[in-house]
Formats: sequence, structure tokens, C-alpha cells
Amino acid sequence: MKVNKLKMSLVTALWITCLCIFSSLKTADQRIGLNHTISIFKEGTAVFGQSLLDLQQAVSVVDGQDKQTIANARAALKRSRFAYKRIEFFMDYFFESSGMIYNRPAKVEVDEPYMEYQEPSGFQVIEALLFEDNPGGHRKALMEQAELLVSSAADLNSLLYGFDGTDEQILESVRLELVKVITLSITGYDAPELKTGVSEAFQSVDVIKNVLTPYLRPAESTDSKLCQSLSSTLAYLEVHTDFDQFDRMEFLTLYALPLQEKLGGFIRERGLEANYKSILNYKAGHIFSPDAIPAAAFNGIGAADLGTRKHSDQMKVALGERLFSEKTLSGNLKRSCISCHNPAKYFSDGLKTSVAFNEESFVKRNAPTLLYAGFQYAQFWDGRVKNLNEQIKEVIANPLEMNGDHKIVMAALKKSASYQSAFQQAFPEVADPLNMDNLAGALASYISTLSPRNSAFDRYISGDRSAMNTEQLNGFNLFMGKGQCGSCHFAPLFNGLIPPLYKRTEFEVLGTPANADFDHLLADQDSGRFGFFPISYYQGAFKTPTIRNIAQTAPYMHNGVFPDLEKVVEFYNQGGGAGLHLEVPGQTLSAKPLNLSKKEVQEIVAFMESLTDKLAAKLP
Amino acid sequence: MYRPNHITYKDCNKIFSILVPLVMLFSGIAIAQKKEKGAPAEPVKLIRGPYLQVASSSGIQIRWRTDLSARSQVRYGTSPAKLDQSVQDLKLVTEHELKIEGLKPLTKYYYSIGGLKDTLQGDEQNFFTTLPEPGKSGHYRIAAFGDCGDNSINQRQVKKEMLSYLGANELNAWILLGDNAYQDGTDAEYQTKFFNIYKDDLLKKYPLFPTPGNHDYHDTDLSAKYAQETHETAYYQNFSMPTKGESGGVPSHTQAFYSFDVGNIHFLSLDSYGKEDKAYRLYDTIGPQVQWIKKDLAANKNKGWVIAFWHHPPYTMGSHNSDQEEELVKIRENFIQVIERAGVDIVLNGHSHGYERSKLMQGHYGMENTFDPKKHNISNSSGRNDGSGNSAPYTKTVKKNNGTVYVVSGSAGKLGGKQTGYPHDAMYFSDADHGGACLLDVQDNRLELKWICADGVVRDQFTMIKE
Repeated sequence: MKVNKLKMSLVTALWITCLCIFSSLKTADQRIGLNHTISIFKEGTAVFGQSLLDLQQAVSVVDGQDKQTIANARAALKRSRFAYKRIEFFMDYFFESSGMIYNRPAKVEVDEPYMEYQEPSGFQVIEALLFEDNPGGHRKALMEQAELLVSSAADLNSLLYGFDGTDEQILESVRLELVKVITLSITGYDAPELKTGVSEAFQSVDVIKNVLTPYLRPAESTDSKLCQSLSSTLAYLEVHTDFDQFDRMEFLTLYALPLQEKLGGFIRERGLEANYKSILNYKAGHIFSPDAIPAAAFNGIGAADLGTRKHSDQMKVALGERLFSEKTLSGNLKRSCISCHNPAKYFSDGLKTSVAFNEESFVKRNAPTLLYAGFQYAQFWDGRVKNLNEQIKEVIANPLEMNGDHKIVMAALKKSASYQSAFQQAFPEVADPLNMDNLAGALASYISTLSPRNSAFDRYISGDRSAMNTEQLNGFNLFMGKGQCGSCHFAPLFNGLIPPLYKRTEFEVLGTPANADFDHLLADQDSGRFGFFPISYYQGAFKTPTIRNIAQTAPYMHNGVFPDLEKVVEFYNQGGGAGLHLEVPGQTLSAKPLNLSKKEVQEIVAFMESLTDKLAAKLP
Repeated sequence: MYRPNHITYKDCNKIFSILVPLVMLFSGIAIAQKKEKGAPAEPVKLIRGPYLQVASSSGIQIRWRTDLSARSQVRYGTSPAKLDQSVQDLKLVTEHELKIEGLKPLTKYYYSIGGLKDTLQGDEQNFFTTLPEPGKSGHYRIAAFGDCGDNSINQRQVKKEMLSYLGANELNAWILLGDNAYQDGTDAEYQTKFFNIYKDDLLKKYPLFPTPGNHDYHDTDLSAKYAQETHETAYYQNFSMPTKGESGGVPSHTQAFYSFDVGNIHFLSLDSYGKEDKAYRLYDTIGPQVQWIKKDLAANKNKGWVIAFWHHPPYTMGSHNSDQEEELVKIRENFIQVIERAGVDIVLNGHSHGYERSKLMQGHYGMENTFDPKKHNISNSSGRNDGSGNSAPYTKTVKKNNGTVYVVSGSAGKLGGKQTGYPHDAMYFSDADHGGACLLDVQDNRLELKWICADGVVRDQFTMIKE
């Protein structure tokens, strides 16, 4: 009997062993988190689908006379948004196109290079309608939006047909979700009027934690630290839910950024790091680390990695720096890049618009700083070229700017033995490197190194808690929250690079006026991007520039109309041109006032002052 | 993750050595059995379709997709209460494709789909009508949807208003004018932006004849160039075409282009983006497609009406510019003479996201500024036939069969966009502000085309009569 018993248990044990061996053979490439993630998604779509039915019901009875119906609809929208946040990581990553209808900005997206565009739909359209003066008047539009969402969401599980995400992809999807939390959710990017961004951040982090479960090994210290970090971030978000009062700096420095570092480290340690989607450098600690957005993504050379680049790259930068003050590039041998982008003035010129080539008139637009200018996918205010190289060539040839004939410029440079040798060293692989492409390339290399990242803000974020004062910290919280500045001037460069992928540069229509007298505003006649690409949505649209070093580069806006930062912030505070009663049909900035107090305006300005870098003393 | 337990039993070496091979053997069998496919244990879910393909006067193909592999069965009959015939496929598949043959022409059949034991769908809303016999006159309705797949409110409204305009009438078929699932024509995009939108009505009731657009040729892994040459995109996976002349016409032996008859109307579905033999586009007239077109047109001169449809239009100033886009220029300069020589009555295109329609015209192959209504318009009537001034129907005779009406109808989903020079001078009527789709209503020798908009308004129409 004893033997039999032993036999039995042995057989059982062996059965299990063999089954395990077989199943591990059979599923040699089985993913650690695939099934778990799929089940999270399925749970999520069920809740989401139900929430949308509730939303549909709620908007169907919206009545302008009955405040309660509007409150109910807003509450239902909020619940739907929360439910969506639990599948957003998955939709955005694996099914971006199918997910587009749910939570895109309420703004027409143009499919360049064609005159094609996609009308906005989904939550943010519904939100805008529910916060209009009379939502009852929009019931039909609300119903259409709700029907679109309900019928689309009911089919979400069909997308799982043949779905086969790898662990690397799943982990990248949650990594990017965390970037969204840090850069978008807490800034009010996708719920500007509901102001639910902080509670939505909770949902996102909670689902990230859930997705990570099968990957976590409790015994490992990296893993348990990540776990703790997730839990404490969630605990913080659970308690601090008020959007306007939320202390973003505290949240970022004590919770979200450490969490991002731990998550990145964990994924790396597990050997599951992969970057299929974004331009981000996942080796960087967190999104505010200077190396998080690599200049290489823009074909540039960042200041941070200059030292590690090969010799010829360093020669390129040196050549570019030399060319930057080279007057031979201009038609009258009097002007250089410095004429309008003076390093002593933080690479701008302090004028409303720059002096033109004839030294009498002025060019059309304000000369922007070149600091961080390379970190954009569009150059010039209207984004008419895609990179610095093209921008440089155009400025040199432009009769109003440098009026340099490319052939004459090159012929002049070729006469110089030292330029011959400098080009040779910068472009050793080419036999005859003196040409316009290489000239632009060298200048672009130099300009792309103009990213010091040593401002008070940068020092604060990297640990020097004395670098910013209370006023500046309050300003940061307002900038990234109530002021809604950070929902267009995206972190970390506070420019138009759209998180979390950072693969596009945004344009906006602000209704910037021709004068600064808010009581007697005049419309500006500059059509902006429309002049380059004539689709009505681009009328008066301009690229979102960086606000780093902005305190040093007055005056402001594409036409230099505002003399100081207080005026700029006040302009936004009033709802831009449309808010100030200018006729701006396609304004993408909300025309509603931000209700910032004088003190708050001042604090935002103080924060922007903390973004001033210390530039190297040596001037070209 | 499973990790094999390494259990050692030092005292039981003997038993172990006997048992191990045995256990391995049994486990092996058990696993092998598990691997062998059988009817799925979980309930199978319908996730796509049913949709109707390769329709003819005697047969049809019904396709659907399930989440798990299962066997396929279609039961059918001429009354919803009596689905007394059936076809099966015993293969375990998720993409179900069943052909039914030996049907009567122009006859309404009800059907259900499912596995051998279960029914996934089948009620009085599941029906199809076989096509009329090729060449036979009658009263036929065919709808044309261009650039539809963007999962917009406009897409839903256009469909809704088309159905509401039809009322109790039914379509004999519907055709697609390309760009059927934005942005890249992936399978997921087809699911969300095409199949999910039309599943409850158009797809399950009316035979569909598609054509590809440029967005159906993106290949997100490789390149559009690769897709153009190989035709390996979701479009070709998702649709079945009558490539062997099943539905009339000369066999094309390719899914890229084909022809079919709806009674006395002969349709050609052409591919204006893909490449044949890795080299020839539609505008390369020495390529296989144009050679086939010539043969097919020659063989179908006896048909009452000939309609050609493809994606890229020869005349447009909507979201695309037919003077600037090389492929549009070349289609106009090189290709449409082939169509015009054969007296094709109507050309339907998409690509621009509006509606643009010419008068009865011929011979305009140059840029917009070379269009001369005196020279190129065969009729100066609007063709509206609605009692307004100069709106008499376009008339063609057997002897004088020349003249074509060009229609761009690319706003069944995507909407809007105008070039600076909008509208195109050759186009009598242009509207890029409303979404819509076209309805062809053909009664013997009289053809009407109506542009039915997303708000239910018919903003353009024309009539053509063959004497």
C-alpha cells in the first residue's frame, strides 16, 4: 500500500513535471504578460462599453433648462473617461488608428501633404459641447457623438483577432502611458474643462500596476522598489485630486519621475527594453533628464552627447560655430546668422521683427531664439521646412534676410584654405565637401548643440531643491495646471513636440493681434501656416515654440507684438484673440478665460524666468 | 511563467526508470490530442460579417469571421422560415468563406450562418438577392461609396440616409470606390472603420464589389511600394472578387481588377494604384490591366450600359489636384481615351473627398486650363431632368454612343478639402461641404444617378437615355 501510494504520488508528480516540460516546450515563446494584458483589456472594454451606454442615456436627456441633466451628463462623461483610461495604454499602442475617435483633441487634424483632414470626435468634442452656454441646444450633436462611441466600443474586442503583442511591446505601452500621465493628464491636455486629469492619472497608473503584475518578482529588490513606487504614487493621486490645487512639482519630483526611473530600470533589467514607437531615449532616467529627447532624432548633435561623438562631428560643430558669424554667407558681406540670432541676446535680436537685408525695412516675423530650436519637426514660424538644414539654406538665400547667392557663397568659401581644411575635417568621407548641403549641415550641427539644460528649473528637477523659489514653484504648478500652458508647450522642452512619442510638432491658432492694446485690438494679417499650406484650419496657425529662455528673448509672439511676459500670460488668461473679441473662426486655443489672478500671472512669469539657461561665456 | 520542477527521488530510481518513458509517452499522447483541432469548447463568437461576395445570377459567396476556429455552415432557402438547403465546410477556420451555387437568378434567399450545430446569425434580416442574368433588362439599383472608411459620424450618416432614401427598395449591389479603411488599410482598420459600420445592413444584404485606393495599399511593416507590387494587403485578404468571370465579363485572373454584370449593366472595377508585373500602373497602357480592359470592353459591347470605377479621378480640384498629382495627370493623359473609345457611359472615382460631376463629355486630356466646354462637352445640358432650364437627359444612341459622365464621389466617410482653384472647370457640379454617396437607378434604357447626402438631401442628379 505504501509503495502504491508512493507510486501514485510519483506518477502524479511526474505527470505534472512532464506536462510542465511539454507545455514549456510548446509555449517556448509564450509571453509573460500577454494573456494577462488581454484579460485586462477585455475587462476594460466591458466596463467602458457600459459606461458609454450610460453616457448615451445621459446626453439624450440633456436639457438647457435643467442644470441637473447637464451635471449628470458631465458625470457620465467623467466615468467614461475613467474607463477609457484603463484601456488607453493598449489602444494607443496597439490600435492607435481604431482608437482615434475616443480621446483626441477637439481640433481638426490635417493629413498633409493632401488637403485631407479628420474632423474631431469623441470625449473632447462632447466635453466642449457640455461646457457651452446651452448644451441642450447641442443635443443632436451630442447624440451623434455618443452613438459613434457606443457602436465603435462594442466592437473593440474584435481587434484581438490574431493579436500577438510581445512583452517588449506591452512594457513599452505602459511606459508610454506613464509619459502621458506626466506630460498630458496632469496638465489638463485631454480634459481641459472637466479638470479630471489628476483622477485620470490615478486610473492610468493603477492599470500600469495591474499590467506589470505577472512581470514582477517579489523577491527581487528592483521589483519590490518598483511596486512600492507604484503604490505610493497611487496613494498620492488618490488623496490629491483637485486639479487646480494639485502640486505638480511635488508629484513629479517625489513620485512620478522616480517611478518612471524605476520602471525604466526594471524593464531594462528584465531584458525587455525595446523602442518601437517613440523617439525617446529609454536609457535616460526620466522625461526631464537632459538625454531623454535625443538630438539624434532630429539629425542633430545634442550638447549632452557632444563629448562622446566622433571627431568629425565635433569638427562639424566647430565649423558650424565659425560659419555662424561668417559674413561671407550674405549678399553684402555685412550680415551673418548673428545679425538676428545674437548669442549675447540668447540667440535672438530683441526686436519685434528683425531688420531686413536693405537695413531699412523689417522682415515679416520675430527672430526666435536658436536655443533648443533644433528639437522640432518644423522650422520657421509657419513650419514651411522640416529641418534646420533646409531652414539655413532658405535664410541664406532669402533676399530679405541674408540675400546670399549659394553659388557665390560657396565660391568665396572655396578661396579660403582654412575653410577648405575645416570642411575636410568635418566631412572626411567626402572628396569635395565644400557645398551648400554640408555648410547647412555644419551650421545645423552647431545649432543643435544649443541645449544647455542648466536652468534653475533643470537644477531643481535634478535634485537641487534650493534652485527655485516658492513663487517659481507655484508658477510651475500653474503652468502645468490651471494655466493650461503645459498642454501645448509640452514638457520637457516646453515646445510643440507632442508627447508621448515626440514625433510631431504642433501648430496652434491663438488669434494673436497686431497690437497690444487689449481694449482696441487689431487683427493681425499674417496668415501663418495657411500661406504655406492653404487649408482653412491653418489660417493664422503658427508653430508652438519653446518657452525655455523666454525671459531673455522679448518681445513675444510671431510678430513680436507683446513687450513682456505679463502681457503674454494675460493674453492667454483672456482666452487669446477670440476671448478678446477678435474674429478668429479657427482659434484652437480655448476662448474661455483662465481666471488667473494677478498673483498667479506673476507666478507663471516667475516660473518662466527659472527656465533661463546659463550660457557659456565665450561668444563666437 | 511555468518552470519545470526538477524533482529527484533518490530512493525510487527503479520505479522512476520504468515510469518515466511511460509517463512521457502518455503525456505526449495527451498533448498531441490536445493539439489536434476539434470543435472549439468555448462558444464561438461572430466578429465580422456576414458579407456577400462574388455574386452572380446563379451563385454567391458568404464570408464571415469568428474569434475561434470553427466549421462553417450556411443554411438557406427562399423563405426565412424554411432554410431547407445548406452548404458546409468541415475545415476549422476563423475566416469562413462558403460558396453557394445553382441558385435562381434575381431571386431572394434567406440564410443563416454558423457551425455545424450552432447558428451565429440568421433571421429575416439575413437575405440576399442573386443578380439578374447578364444582359437582361430590368430595374436595378446600385450604390457607390467612395473613401468611406474613417469611422466618422459622416460615414454613419451617409449610410443611414442612403438606406432611408431606398426605403422599401433594395440594392442589387453596392460598390466601393477605394480608400475603404483609413489610414493604412490594416486589418484592424477594416474592422473598426468598415466592417463594424456596415455589418447590420449593407454587408449582410447586398453583394459588394470593391476597388482599392491608395490607402488600401499602405504597408505598415514594409512600404507602399512593396504593397503596390505584391498586392499583399488586408484589402486583398478581406475581399473575394469574381476573377474567373463568375459574374460576367472576361476573366481577369487577378483580384486587383475584374468585371461583372448586373443585368444589362456591365461594370469594370479597376486598380489605379497597384502595379502589374511589378511595373505597370493603370496609366501604363501597355500593361496587363489595360490589355484586359480592352478585351473586356470589346467583349461587352452588347451590354446596355458600361460603367467603369476606380479610385484616382482624371478631373478634380477637391482634396486632390488633377493638374499637380502625377498619377491623376497620367490617368487623364494616357488612360481615359481607352475608356472613351469604347463609349463607357459613366466613370466613378473617389480620392477627393467631395462630389464633382461633369456633363456628358469627351476628349479632354490636358490640364484644367485647356478645358473648352464647346469642344469637350457633348451636351451642354445639366442632365438633371428636373424641369429646370437646360436639364434634358443625356441621350446616346447605338450609332452615336460616345460621351462619358465623370463622377468623383469620395465623401462617404472622409469629407472636405478644396484646392485653391476649386472647382474644376470641367465639372458642372462640385460640392466638398457635404458628405454623400451615389445611387445608380437603371431602368432598361434609362439611367439615373443621384448624389444622396449625409443630411438626406439629393444635391445632384442626372439622367441618361439610350435610344
